[in-house]
Amino acid sequence: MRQVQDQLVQDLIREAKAGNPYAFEKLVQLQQTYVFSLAIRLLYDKEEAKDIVQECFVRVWRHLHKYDPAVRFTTWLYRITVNLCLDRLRARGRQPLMFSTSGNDERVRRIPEQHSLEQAHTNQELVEIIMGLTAYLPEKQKLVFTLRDLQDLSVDEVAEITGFSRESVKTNLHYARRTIRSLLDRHYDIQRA
Amino acid sequence: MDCERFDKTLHLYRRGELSDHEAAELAEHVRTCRRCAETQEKLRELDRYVESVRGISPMLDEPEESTARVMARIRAAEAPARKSPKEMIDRLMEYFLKPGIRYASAAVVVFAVASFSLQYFTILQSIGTLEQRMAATPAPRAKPTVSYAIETEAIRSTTDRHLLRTLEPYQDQVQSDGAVIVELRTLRFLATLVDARASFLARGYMDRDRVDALIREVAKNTRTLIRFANGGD
Repeated sequence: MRQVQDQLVQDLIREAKAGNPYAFEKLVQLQQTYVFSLAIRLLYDKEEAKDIVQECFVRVWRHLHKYDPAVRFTTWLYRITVNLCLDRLRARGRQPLMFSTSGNDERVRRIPEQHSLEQAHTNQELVEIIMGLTAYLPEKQKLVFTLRDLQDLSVDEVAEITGFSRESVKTNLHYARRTIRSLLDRHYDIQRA
Repeated sequence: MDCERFDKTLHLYRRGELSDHEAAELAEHVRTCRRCAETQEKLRELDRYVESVRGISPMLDEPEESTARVMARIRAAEAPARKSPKEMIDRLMEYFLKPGIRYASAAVVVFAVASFSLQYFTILQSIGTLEQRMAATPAPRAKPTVSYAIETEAIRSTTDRHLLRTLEPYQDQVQSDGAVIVELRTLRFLATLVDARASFLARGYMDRDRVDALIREVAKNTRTLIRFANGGD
């Protein structure tokens, strides 16, 4: 299935490179959800994630001639998305929030209940859940955890998108999971108490 | 002590994160270490929890509208390249009215005029040299050095009626004899002059009669060369 979709995407790219705007439109239709889901998981803001979709595909259109078909299109797309999201985060100065070492209780409080996952029907509810997991992770850990555990990409793909080595991806994943695990532990301890 | 060593591998629990060797080492350790076995169990819980988060994909509210907005932005970004011819000329004029560009353009025009003049005088000089050489040199008797095909192509490549008219009578002869010396250099020179003629006339550098007289002169010399080649007088 993945291979069929990759082939379809490559065909559309070839058409779009030849100047066919309808092929590009189809490509946007097929791929925009991936961009949106990654952007919302990194930015926690639906409107900003929608803007990222726009900016991302305008950038893709401008740089389509530079796209190397040897690289999976989604990898290239995610790389652009990540860069745009990091620019946004840095521009709006949310970074200090992510590096905050204070407010442990607040962190623990944010962890959602398992049953709330089953009931999370809206994007906003889901954003709350994801924020509970990743909002306080340092940038690299948050990026690697989001790509690997939330977007379900392979270690190699994460390395290619972020530009980190495989070992660095695994190290950041290890720290991210350990932090989240300890938050969950404390959360359940508080619930039990 | 060993537990610290296994802390990282314990947290790398998803497929493809550990080598077979690392996984085997970890399994062996967990089998004998209660603390790490508990941690592994908690990590399994975490994995289930994260898996349920992963299973819920954030969705775009109005995907069609999103696509339409992307395409509208692309069309808007492309729009400047599709301005009307009048707008393009206006923009070009604005561009050339800038002082720096104006002086640079003037310099280019002066250079172009100088190049044309130089080319013109070089041609005149070449004609003189050719005439002198033809007067002094006996008729060439050497075997053909240039194939007929090339020559014919050179002839065909120019559409000038003078050149064609001049060489036309010799085409049959060339074909029947199969070997005629036409000094390609002369032929090329003639073709150059014919090309130059169009430029000279277009720019009004020379009077049409003067240019045509020049062409005829060179064509006559070419004909003389052909005649020499055929053993004529």
